[in-house]
Amino acid sequence: MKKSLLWIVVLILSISMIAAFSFAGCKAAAEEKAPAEEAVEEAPAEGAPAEEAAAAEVTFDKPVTITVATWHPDSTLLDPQIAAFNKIYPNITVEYTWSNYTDYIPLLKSAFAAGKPADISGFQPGAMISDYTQFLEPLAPLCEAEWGQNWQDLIYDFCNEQVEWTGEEYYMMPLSWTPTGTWANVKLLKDNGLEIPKNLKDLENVRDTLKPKGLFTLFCGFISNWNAMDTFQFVMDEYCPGLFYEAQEGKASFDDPKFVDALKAWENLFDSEIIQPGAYSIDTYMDTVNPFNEGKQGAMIVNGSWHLGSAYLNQFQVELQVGGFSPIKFPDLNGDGKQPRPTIAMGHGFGIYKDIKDPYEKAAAWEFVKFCASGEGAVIYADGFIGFPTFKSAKAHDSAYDGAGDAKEEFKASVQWYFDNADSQGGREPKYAELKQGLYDIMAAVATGQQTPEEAAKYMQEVSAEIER
Amino acid sequence: MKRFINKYGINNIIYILPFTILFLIFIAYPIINNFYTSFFKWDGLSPDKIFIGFQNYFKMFNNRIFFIALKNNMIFLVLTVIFQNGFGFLMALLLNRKIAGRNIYRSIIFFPCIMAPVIVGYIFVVLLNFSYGVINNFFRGIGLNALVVDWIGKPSLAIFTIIFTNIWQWTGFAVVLYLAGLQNIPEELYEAAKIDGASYFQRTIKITFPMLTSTHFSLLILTSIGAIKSFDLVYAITMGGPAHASEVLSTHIYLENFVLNHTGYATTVSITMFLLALIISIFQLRLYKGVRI
Repeated sequence: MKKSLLWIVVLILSISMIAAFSFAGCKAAAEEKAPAEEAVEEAPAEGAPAEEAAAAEVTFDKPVTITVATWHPDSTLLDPQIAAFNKIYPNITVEYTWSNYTDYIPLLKSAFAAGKPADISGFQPGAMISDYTQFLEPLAPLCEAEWGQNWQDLIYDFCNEQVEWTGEEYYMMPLSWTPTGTWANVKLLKDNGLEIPKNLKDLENVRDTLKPKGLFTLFCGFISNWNAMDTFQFVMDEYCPGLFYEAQEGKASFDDPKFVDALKAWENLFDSEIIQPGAYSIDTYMDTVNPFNEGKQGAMIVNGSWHLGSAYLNQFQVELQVGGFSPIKFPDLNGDGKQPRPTIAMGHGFGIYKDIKDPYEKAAAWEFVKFCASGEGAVIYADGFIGFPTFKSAKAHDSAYDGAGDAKEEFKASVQWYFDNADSQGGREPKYAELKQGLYDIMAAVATGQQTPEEAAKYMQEVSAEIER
Repeated sequence: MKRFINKYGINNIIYILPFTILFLIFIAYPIINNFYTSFFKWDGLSPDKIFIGFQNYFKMFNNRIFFIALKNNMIFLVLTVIFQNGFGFLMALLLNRKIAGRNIYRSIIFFPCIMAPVIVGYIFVVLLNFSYGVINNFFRGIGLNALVVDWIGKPSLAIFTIIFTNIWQWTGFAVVLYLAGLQNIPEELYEAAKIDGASYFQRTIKITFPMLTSTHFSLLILTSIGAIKSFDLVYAITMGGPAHASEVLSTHIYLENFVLNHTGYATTVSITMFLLALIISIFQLRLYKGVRI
C-alpha cells in the first residue's frame, strides 16, 4: 500500500476510534445546552439561584426534561407519580433511571465523579449522603419560600433530625420514613399451638415446637447485611440502649461491657438456632421474604413497615390475608419485661444537583421534588405502603386498602400499629460508612464464630477511633 | 526518532499506531493515574486531594482485610491452576478419542464458559443454599446429613465454594485449548513410541504433556491473571463475606472505593494487584523460556 494512503487509513481509523468513545459524552453535553438556548422568557437570567425562580412563579409553559436517578421508589410508584405530576405540569418530562440499591451506590459515585449526575438523585441520610453534600443544592431556603418559616413543623421530627445530620441546609428533601420491625405468621403459630412470642423463653418454645417440623423461628437472610443490622439494633436496645448513638458521636466506647453483652446475646441467637443455621448464606429478598409470605417457612421475619404491601396486597396466599400476618414487637431478650424499640429510617429523599446550568430546569426539578414530598405524589407513595410520607398531611387513600379484600380493616389496623408504636431508639442508618461496615463485619464475625464478642467489640472501637468526626 | 523508524520500519509503526493510541489512553493512562492517586487521601468525588505520601501503602500493609484478600487470591490461584487446568487436560485427552457423541460432550463442557459469571454465581447460590438448596436437600434425602454444610455462609468454606464454582465454569476453556494443542502433536511420535513398547500412560507423560508446553504456559498465565482479578463470581455468591472470609483483592477495592469512599486507598490496592499480576506473568514467561523445547 502506498505510504500516503496508509497514513490516511491510519489517521481515519485512529480518529474514528477516539471519536466513538468521546462523542457519546459530547452528545449528552449538547442535549444539556439545548434547553438553555430555549430559555423561557419568564425564567430569570442564567446563573440566578433557584429560589428566585420560585419567587418569580415559573409557569413551565415551555418543554423541559429533568432526570432522576434513584433506587427507591421503583416504577410501580414512580410511574404513577410522574403521570400525576404531568397532569399538572405537562411540559416537564421526567426521565428516571432506577437501579437496585447495590448497583445504585457505585453508579451514584461514578455519575458525580464524572460531573454528570442526574438532576435529582435519591439519598438516605447519614453515610450515603455525607460525601455528596458538596454537590447538592441547599433546599432549606426553597422550603421556606414554599411553606413558610415553620415549614419543618409539617414534617415528622425524626425525619428532620436525620436530614440535619448533614447540616441544617437540608441537602435532601425527606420523602419517606420507615420503622424497622418484626412480622409474625400468626396462622402458622396458632396452627402449632403457639402464641406470638414476647420474650426469650417464648422464642425457645417456638423453636422447640417448629424445629422438628423443619420450620424456622426467626427466618433471616443476612448475606447483604442490612437485615442483620436491623435485627442487631433490637438486641442493642435490649442490652445497651442508646450506646451505639453515643459511641457514634465519640462520646462512648464500643468496648463497653454492655455492648459486649449485646454481642453475646447476638451470638446466642445463632448458637440456640432461634435464627436458623445458614442465615449468612441467603438474602432477605427473595430467599426469606417469599417463603415467609407463602406461609411455607419461618414463624417470624425481621422486616419493617415496607412489608405491609407484600403482607396484605400479595395475591399468592389469599388464605393468609385475614388473620395471617401481623406486625409485632421484637421479643424481650434480657428478661426485663420490656420489648426493644424499633429504629426509624428516613427511608429516602431527593437531592438536587446544584450545578444544573439551566435555572428553568432546576426550577422544574424542585417542582417535582415538592410534588413527591407534599403533593399528590406523596399520597401516591403512601398508597404503595412501602414507606410513609414525611409530610404529616399525606395519608394513603382509603381505596388503597381495597386490595386486601376481607383483610382491609386488619390492614388498616396494621398501618396504624406502626404509628402507635413509633417510639424509636433512634435512626436506622449509621452516620458514618466506616461504622456501618464495621457493624456488618462484627455481626457476621460473631455469628459465624470468627470473633468472640470481646474481640468484636475491641475491633469496633478501633474502627470508631479512626473516624474523623 | 529516525533510528527508531529505520529499525522497525515506518509501515510497521503505522499499523500498530491505532492500537497504541487506544492502549495509551485506556490502559496506560489509568494505570499511571491510579499510581499517582495512591499517594493522596481522596474520596473520589471532591476536587481536592490531600497528598499523604506513602501512608496509603502503610495502611494497606497494616490492614488485616488486605492480607485476608491476598491470601484468598493466592489460594484461588493455586487451586484454579492445578484443578482447572488439570481437569481440562484430562478431559481433553478423553475427548480427543473417537468416542460417540464427543462433539456434544465438547459443547456441554464448554457451555458454562459462555455464561455470565454473575448468572453462574446466582445459580450456585440457589444450588448451595443451606436450608433448601438442591445439593443439601439431596444429601438429606439420602441420609448423608454429615455432608449438609453451609457452603456459602461458613467462613472456612466460602472461598472454596467460589473456587469450585470458578473451576466448574472455566474448565471447558482449558479443554478447548488443550484439544487445539493436541491436534498439533504429530501422530508419528505416538506410532514410534508404540513400536518401542510405550504404554498409554508413558506416551501421555513423555510425549503429550511435554508437547503441550506452550498451552500449559498460556493457561497458566490466563488462569493466574483470572484468579487475581476475579470479582463478579465472588460478589454474586458471597459479596466477600461472611465478615470478609471470602474477600479477594477486587472486592476489597470495590468496598473501599464505592462503599467507604476511600478512593486513594483503593487505588493503592489496585496498583498492588496490578504489580502482583505483572510479577506473576513475568515469572511465568521466564519459566516458559527456560523450559521451551
